[in-house]
Amino acid sequence: MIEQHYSVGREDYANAGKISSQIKTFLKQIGLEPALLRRIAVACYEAEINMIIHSYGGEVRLAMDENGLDLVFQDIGPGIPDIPKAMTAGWSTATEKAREFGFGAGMGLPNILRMADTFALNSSQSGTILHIAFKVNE
Amino acid sequence: MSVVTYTLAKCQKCLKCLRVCPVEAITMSDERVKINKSRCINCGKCVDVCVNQGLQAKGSTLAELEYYDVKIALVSSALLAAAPSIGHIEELFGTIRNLGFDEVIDLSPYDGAIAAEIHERISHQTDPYLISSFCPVINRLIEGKYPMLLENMIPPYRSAELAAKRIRKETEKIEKKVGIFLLCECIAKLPAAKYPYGNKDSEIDHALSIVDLFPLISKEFGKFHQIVDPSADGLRLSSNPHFSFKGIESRILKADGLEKVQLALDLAEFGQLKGRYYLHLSNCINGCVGGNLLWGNPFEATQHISDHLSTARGVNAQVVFETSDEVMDEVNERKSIQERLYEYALISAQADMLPGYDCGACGFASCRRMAEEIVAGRAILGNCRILREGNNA
Repeated sequence: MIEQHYSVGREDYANAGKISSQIKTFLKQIGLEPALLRRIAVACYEAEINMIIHSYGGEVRLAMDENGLDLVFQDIGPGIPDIPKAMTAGWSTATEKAREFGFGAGMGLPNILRMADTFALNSSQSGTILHIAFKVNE
Repeated sequence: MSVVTYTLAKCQKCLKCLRVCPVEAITMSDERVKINKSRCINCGKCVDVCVNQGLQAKGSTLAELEYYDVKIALVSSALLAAAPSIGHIEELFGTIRNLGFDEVIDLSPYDGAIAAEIHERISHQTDPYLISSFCPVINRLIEGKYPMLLENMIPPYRSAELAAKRIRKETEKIEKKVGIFLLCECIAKLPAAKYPYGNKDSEIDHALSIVDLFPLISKEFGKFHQIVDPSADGLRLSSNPHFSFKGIESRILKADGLEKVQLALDLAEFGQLKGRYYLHLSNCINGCVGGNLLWGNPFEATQHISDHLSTARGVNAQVVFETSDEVMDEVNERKSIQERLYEYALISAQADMLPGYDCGACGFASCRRMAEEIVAGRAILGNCRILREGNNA
C-alpha cells in the first residue's frame, strides 16, 4: 500500500494542477495502463481545480495497492448546496463573464463521475468529501 | 536509436549534458559519460550544451558515394529555408548535384502531400485531439513519457521515406546499385538511414548532416543550377509560424521547443486543451526550419519561407497513405502491479535518504534516478557526495 498526502490552499490558482501533476508522475512510474492513467489524470485535475476554486482549502489523500487507486478530496467548506444541480453537465457557479474568460465550463463533477469506477460525494456547510476510486485489472 | 557519440578525450566532465537531458538518458560513471540508447530521443540538447564537442551527432559522409552506380540526394524542405530566394534554392540544388549526385530531389512536394493528409484527418476529427508525428523527437518523447497520448498520434509518415520508396520502385528494373542519400536538417532524422544506424525498415541508404556539406557547398556555390518547383504546402509544414489550414486556424495548437511541447502534452493529458483538435509539435524552434544541422538561424529561415511562399507553385506528390496498424510499442517490462508498487516504495525510501538537490555529482541526473540505481544494485548511497561531505563534517 502506497499512501500520499497533499494540501490544497484556498484560491491558490498559482499552484493549480501541481498536485495532479505529481500524482500523474507517480502513476507513470508505476506504469499503469495508458487508458486508465488518462481517466485518473482527467478526474484528478478536475477535482483539484474544483477544490481551489470553490473551497476554503483542504487536502488530497491517495492510497494505492494492487487492486486499485483511492483518491479522497476533502475540504473544510463551504459545501455544495445542491448536489444534483452540481452534477448536471453545463451547470456552473461561474458567471457568464467568468466563463467567457475560461473559468468554470461546468463539466467538472459530471466529468469526474464519468471517469471514475466508483464515485461518492458528500457535502455539508462544514465541508465536502469526494471519494473516487479506480480499479486496476491486471 | 541514439545518434549521439561520445569522445572521452574531449569530455570536460562538466555534467552539463546530464542535467540538460529531458529524458534522463545520460549518466556518468567511471569518469565517463554513458548514453542510454533506448531512452535517448535525439533532441540534441546535450550536443548543444557540450562545451568541447565531446558529444556529437555525425551522419555518413560523401565518401560513401563511390559504392553506388546511381546516386540520389533527397533534400528536406527545411533546407529550402536556408536560401533567401527560389533562385538561391536552384543554385543550391545545382551545387549539391555537383558534389557527386545524379539526381537531387526536393522533398517539399512529399511534405505537401503529408500536410494534405493531416488536413484530411483533422477535418474528420471530432473527439480531441490528434497529435502530429512529423518530428521524430516528439514521437519518441511521447512514447517514453506520455504513453496515454500514443493513441492520439497520426501515423509517422516521413517525406523522405515516401520519396525513397517511389525511387526504389522506379529503379527496381535497373541492374545498377542505387544509393539514396538523405540530407538531414536535424540530428533526429539521421537514424532514418540503413547506414550507419542500421534501420532495417528504411529505403534510405545514408543520412548526411547538411551542416557537414556546408563548406563544400559554399565553395562551389553559384556555378550550377537546377530547376526546383517547391510545394507551398510542404514549405508550410516545415515552418511552424506558417503552418495552418484555412477556416480551422483556432482549432490548431502549435508548439515548438521541448519546453512548450511538454507543457502542451501535460495539458493534453489532463484533457485541458478544449476546442483544439490538432497539436502541431516540433522539437526545433519554429519547426523543422530551425533544425540543429542547418546553418543560419530559425528566425531568418522563417522569413525566407514567407518569401518563398509568394512564388512557390509546385504541386504536391501523389502519395497513397496506407492505413497501417503500426503501433509504437510501449517499452515496459511487465512486472506485476504488486512488484511495481513494491519497487516504487523501495525507490522512494532510498530517495528520502538522499538530499534532493538533484546536483548530478553522483553521475545521475536526479536523486530519484540515483535511488532507482541503488535499488537496481548499480549504485550505493555512498556515491552521494553531499552525504559523504555531511558524514565527514
